[in-house]
Parts: sequence; structure tokens; C-alpha cells
Amino acid sequence: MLRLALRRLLWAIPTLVGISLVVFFVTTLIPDPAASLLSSQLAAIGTDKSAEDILTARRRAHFLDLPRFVNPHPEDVRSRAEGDVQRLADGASLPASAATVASADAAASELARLGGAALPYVLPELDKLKPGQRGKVAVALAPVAERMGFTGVRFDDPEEASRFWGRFWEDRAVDFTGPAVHRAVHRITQDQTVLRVRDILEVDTFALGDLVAAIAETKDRQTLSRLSDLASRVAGRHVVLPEGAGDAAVRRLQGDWQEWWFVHREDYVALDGGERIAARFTETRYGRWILRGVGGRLGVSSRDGEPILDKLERRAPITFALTGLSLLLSYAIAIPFGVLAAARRGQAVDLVLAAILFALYSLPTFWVAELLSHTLASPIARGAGLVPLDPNHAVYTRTTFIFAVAALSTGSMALLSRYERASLLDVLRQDYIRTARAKGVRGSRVLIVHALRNALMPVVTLAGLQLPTSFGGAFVVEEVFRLPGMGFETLRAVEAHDASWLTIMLLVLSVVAMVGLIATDVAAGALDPRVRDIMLARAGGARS
Amino acid sequence: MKRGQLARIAHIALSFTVLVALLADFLASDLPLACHTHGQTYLFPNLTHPVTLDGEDCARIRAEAGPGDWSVDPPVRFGPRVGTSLNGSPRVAPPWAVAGHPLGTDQEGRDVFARLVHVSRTSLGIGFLAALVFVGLGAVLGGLAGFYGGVIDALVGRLIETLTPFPTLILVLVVQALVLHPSIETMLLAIGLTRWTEVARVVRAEVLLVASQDYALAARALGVRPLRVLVRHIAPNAAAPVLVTAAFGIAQVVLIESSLEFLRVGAPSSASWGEMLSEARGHPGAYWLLLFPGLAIFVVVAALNLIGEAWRDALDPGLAHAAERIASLDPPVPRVGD
Repeated sequence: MLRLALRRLLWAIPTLVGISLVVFFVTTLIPDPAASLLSSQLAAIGTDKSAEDILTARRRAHFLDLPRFVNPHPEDVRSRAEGDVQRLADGASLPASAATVASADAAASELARLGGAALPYVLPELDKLKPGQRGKVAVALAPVAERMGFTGVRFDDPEEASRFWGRFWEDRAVDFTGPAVHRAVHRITQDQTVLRVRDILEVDTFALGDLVAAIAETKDRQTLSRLSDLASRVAGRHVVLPEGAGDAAVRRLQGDWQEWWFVHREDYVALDGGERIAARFTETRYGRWILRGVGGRLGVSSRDGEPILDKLERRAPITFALTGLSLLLSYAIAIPFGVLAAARRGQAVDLVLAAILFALYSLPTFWVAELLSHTLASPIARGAGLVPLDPNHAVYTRTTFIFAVAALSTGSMALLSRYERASLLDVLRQDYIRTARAKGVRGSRVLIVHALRNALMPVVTLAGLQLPTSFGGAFVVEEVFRLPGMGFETLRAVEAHDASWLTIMLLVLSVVAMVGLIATDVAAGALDPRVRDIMLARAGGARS
Repeated sequence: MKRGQLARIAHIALSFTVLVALLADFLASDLPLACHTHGQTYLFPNLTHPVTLDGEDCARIRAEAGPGDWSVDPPVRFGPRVGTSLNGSPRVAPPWAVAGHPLGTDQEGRDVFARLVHVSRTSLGIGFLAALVFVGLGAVLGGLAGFYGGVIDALVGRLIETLTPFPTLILVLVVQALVLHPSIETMLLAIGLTRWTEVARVVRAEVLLVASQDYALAARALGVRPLRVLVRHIAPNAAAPVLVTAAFGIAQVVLIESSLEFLRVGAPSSASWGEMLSEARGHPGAYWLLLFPGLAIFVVVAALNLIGEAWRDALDPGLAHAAERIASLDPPVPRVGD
């Protein structure tokens, strides 16, 4: 029994990977923002720098700048900074052409964005460059110095800028170490003084990792607001905590910064040793996507900026309650029906039941739900004290929920009772039943005690297979009855093209369904030794 | 009622629906089947929609008929797209309230019968085409897995295992929402690529069974190439159970397709029964808008299910334990551990 469960769980790992690959494949269907832009928009981008930035940011948020599965050359702050310096140096020494100028400009702007985090890899190398090249790099770093709050130096003069950065690194190289920055950020969470702010500003983006970590941990609104302002200034973003913000806004802000850091971490942190090797697989679209999920950061909804996790917490209970209750209800009705039909096989009761169940089995769930919701809204129902559907759909009542469960149950109830009848008839033909009858056991006792137990097994284990279908039905029913579950949210997400919610929701539901399948498999093995033997003999140990 | 009779009714019902879908233009169209007007004779303008008859319809052609003009109208003289303006009266009219509209009109004054008949092509088309995709895929993958075994079998097994927990409806919904241009084709592919597992399982089991039979062994012993054994000896035997699975599968696809259209996440370009039902939600009192499309879906799905069950019983007479199964409408018993 334990062996079966362990085996089944172990084999769930490849299935899990498979599921993640399927959902990942679905995410690749999301159109590349660059590809979906119209040519007119592209023409506008040619002149408009900020549009291009927005496009790049959007592509990065979906990791479209990374290769799919293997990244032979993962980029980090060091490789980016060194590449930028190289390109700037080339721009200074090679004959000027449109291409080299453009490449040097791009390098300069990237270097300015990388900021303080790049300095440990740029400044020590400055001396090794030729004077002309050194000046070019030093001038490119000017926006960084301005961000740091240095004034009074003419940064557009290559000589003076080079001298400034040389001095800067002699004085402050000690500040550019992990522990020093960690202490500085810790101090600023305690109390904000001009000096402490300067400490942070002067290491610039080098402090971003610790800042984001502090933002994630801080509960105090004022500190949070300060930290966010500081991080915004350093990172060139604009994220503020509005006045009198509630808990939701605080969480949104924290989620926003964490998400941003997750996407941009490698712009500010160097990969070393093991991390560098792992980055070949983690610095890929699939790797980042999985890591984001494993880290519990499911991203934020592009529809309203709410973290996906919060949305799930709010929506999932309704959907799961709906499916769970409907499965329970289906079994509660299906088993007596199945027994009754089997006991009265070939008689009028059996025929009528068979006809009704067959009809229910072939009716679309949404149609049944629609009929029931009409009933709920009818004058008779209102007269009977049942609350009609709220026209604004803001609230739902217990009555609508019960009706929704009933609507969702019809299909599975019909299917299950038909299986139950067939399964019971199969069992009733067994020799041991004949033996029991021959011993003189009463008919009803044979049916309930001897036959039913064995006939239940295949039907109960159907629950696992029924789960995915029920999820689909729940989505439809939620829409009809306006229950604010995952289906309701999903249809709003479809309208808004909220890809993050859609993919995460798909992943969550399939994993839940997979767990359901495993549970019923293990239950089947526990109940029936024959099944257990077959399952243990099979690779994967799944019931087919 | 005997089982055979039920199955016969189901076959007739399905053939009837397919026929109706094929002949939609002859059952309901705003142009006549044939007419002679303004000195010209048209044959099947309802199919060809000649430019010279633009803006015309059956009623007008009849009203403007001069001496010597004649026209043959279809049973329902309205097309699925254009709504008729009913002067003064509400656009949503119940069956027969307005002459010529046997099933009434919808919120845009369109004839319900005409729409019902014309959009049946969407549901049936998607059902049968998706079946082609998933039966083909399932037969190939299941056949390879059963025939070659080993690594291929393990891989296909993993793949089936992976796809089983996915709720097809939701997966297709997400795909339709994410692709740049959602269309019937993307829906077909999404359904076909996820629903092949059942067919593959059946084919694999059948191949394993047949490959161990004496005649297959004999063929191999004679030196027949494996591929030929697969095609000549195994495939014909596996075909029947595949057909059974396909019948149940098409029924499921029709349900999924109409659910998607009901949720308005199907193909935006095509109307369907599900979409008609979705539009009916705005008119709670108009029972005919809810009843007829629902009935149409039900008839198709029920017929397919009945046909699947009848074929399965015909395949496996051992299952049909005479007295007990007469009139019973048994579903496929899950073969545990199979």
C-alpha cells in the first residue's frame, strides 16, 4: 500500500514536469509584443525612445529576451558592463560609422541604467583603457553620478570625469561590498537621515537587492513609502505608495517590487560559481517561468495589478467548493439510483431511470444551468422566498450556490449512476453472489452487503477522471450564476488578455486534477489488491 | 424499446442533422430556390447569391412579380443573417406569432429556424474535423506505442498521463484567449491536440492484443515487414474500437464547442448554437431562444452517444448479456487496470 503510494508519487514528478511543459507551451502562444505592433507604431518607435523602452520592458516581463530552454551565455551585470565598456571603447577607437555610434549610444544608456551595480566591474578596468576610451566610458557614466547626487563636476569633460571616477573608486570601493550595503539598508529602515540616504544613493543600484528585500519585509507604511521612493529613484521607476493606502495596496506595492526584481535581478547582480552554471538553465524562458512559480511569486495580473496569488486565494475556494460539493452530491444521488436500477433491471423503474439519466448525460451543463437560473429568477421562486439573482452580480446567496451545485451535478450524476448500474450488474454475475444466494441470503442483503462493496470501487475511482470535466463545468456554471470563482475571473481575464492569470489558473487546476487522479489511484489500490498488483507491475503505476 | 431500435433512431437523427446542415441553404434562405424576375431566370440564387439580386428577398421578388414571372421559395423564406423589421411589433417574436417564422425570431429579428439550420454547420463541422485530428493523432501514437513498445511506449504513456488532468474546456479557452487571431482552426487544433489520449489508449491496447494473435505472429514468422503487419493485420482490427471512441469523442467536442461559444470565447467569426444560447440570456422570457438551440445540441450529442454505445455492443457481443441489457443504456464499463 505504502509502496504503491510512494511509487505513484514518484512517478508524478515526470507528469508534473510534463504539465509544466504543456502550460509553458501555451504561454508561448502569447503574441510577442514586438510582433503584434503595427507598422505605424513601429515607425513611431523609430523616433520615440520611451515607446521602445516600454516594448523592451514588456518583452522582458515575459522573458521573451531569453532563449527557450538552454542559455549558453547567461548575461549578468558583469558581462553586460564589460560588454558595454568594450563597445564604448570600440566606439572611441574605431572609425566612426552609423553602426558604431548607435552601438556606443546603446551601450552608454545601458551602462547608465545598470548604474552602481556595474561600477565594480567598470571602474577598476578604467586604468587599462587608452585615455580616449577611458574618457568615453567616464562620460557615459555621468547619469549615474547625477543620480548619486554628485554636483560641481563637469561630467561632459572626459578628463575631469575620468579623474572623478578614479577618485571615487579609491574612496568608496569598500562601500561596494555585500555586508556594507546590507548594513546601510538596515540602518535606513530604522530611521531616515540625510546621511543614511546618501549612503544608499552613493552605491546606487548596487543596493537594489537589499532594498527590495527590505520592501518585502517591511510592515510599517512610512518606512515602506520611503524605501519605495528610494528604490524608484535608483532604478528609474515610479512606484509610490498612495496616501492612506490599505493592506491591498501595500501588498500590491511589495508584489510589484518583487516581480520587478525577479525579472531584472541579473542586471544588478553578478552570477558566480554554481549560480553561473545553473544560469544556463534558469536564465531561460522556461527556467524563469518555473522559478517564478516555485518561489510562490505567481506574478501580478495585468488586468488590475493584483498579485495572482491573492486572486487565487479569493477565487479558488468558490470553484473548489463548487466542484467538491457537486461531486459529493453526484455520488449521493448516483449510487442509490444505480443500485435501484440494477435491482429492478429490465423493469419499468430501470427503463424510466435509464431514459432520464441518458438525457441528463447528453444535456450541456450550461443549458441546465441556464434553465435553473431562470427558475431562480421566476416569480414563483421569488414568492417562495428564494432570493433572485442580484442584478449587479455583486453578491451571491446560498440559494444561488445550491442551484449552481445542482446544475453542475447533473452530468456527472448521470454518468456515475450509469456506471454504477453497469458495474453492479457485472458483480451480480459473479460466482460468489450465486453462492451467497444459494446459502439463502436475502436478495437485498446480497445486493447491499455482498455486491455493492465491490461494485462501488470502479465508480468511486472515477472521481479522479471526473475532476477535470467538473472544473470545466464549474467555469460555465459560475458564469451563469455569477459566482465570483475562478471561472468568473477567467472570463474577465480573457477580455483583458491577462495572460498571467490565464496560464497560472490553467497550471493550478491541472495540478489539482493530477493530485486527484493520484489520490483515486492510490485509493483504488488500497481497496482492491488485484488492482494494486496490476498497478505495481506497470511502469508509472497509473491506472489506465 | 429494444436497443437496436434506439440505435436506429439515433442513426437516423444524426443523419438527419447532417443532412439539414448540408441542405441549410435549401431549407432557409432569403432568396428563392429558383425564380424568373425582371426578365431573367435564376437557378439556385440561394446558393449563388447573384449580384443582380442584391437587396432582394423572397417576399419582394414575389411582390414585384410581373406577368410571366415566377419563383420557387424555400420552406422558410429568411436567411440566418439579416433580421426582418417587423413594423411596430417587438423584434423578439415567439414561434408562429409572425407568419413565416416557424420558430420565432431573435432579438435582432432574425429567423430562429434559419439560424438554427445554418449554424449547425459550425458545431457539426468542428465536431467531425476535430475528430479527424484526434483520431489520427491517437491512432498513430497509440499504434506506435503498442507496436514498438519500449521507449516509445513509455514516452507516449507519459504524454497521456500528462494530458489527462488537463480540463479540455479550460485549456482550449486559454489557448483561444492567448493566440493573436483566435479562429475555428486554432480551436480545432487545440481540441484535437488534447483529446487524442483516449484513442491512443484504445489503439495501444488493441495493437498489443492483436500483435500477440497467431495470425499476426504467423505473418511475422513468414518474414512480412513489421510495418506491413501493422497496416494489413493490426489496423483493420483496431479500427472498430477507434470508431466507438470517436463517436463518444465527437459528442464531447460538440459539448465543449458549444460551451465555449456560450462563454463567448470560441471563434469570433462564426455563429453557433452555443452563441445563440448565449444571446438568449438577455431575454429570459423568450423560451424559444433557449429551447431550440439547446434541443439541437441535445439531439446531436444524444445521437452520438447512443451510436457509440450501439457500436460498442455490436463489437463485443459478450458484453450484451441478453436479458439484462435489453433496453439498458449502459455506458462503457471502465476496465480497471487495463
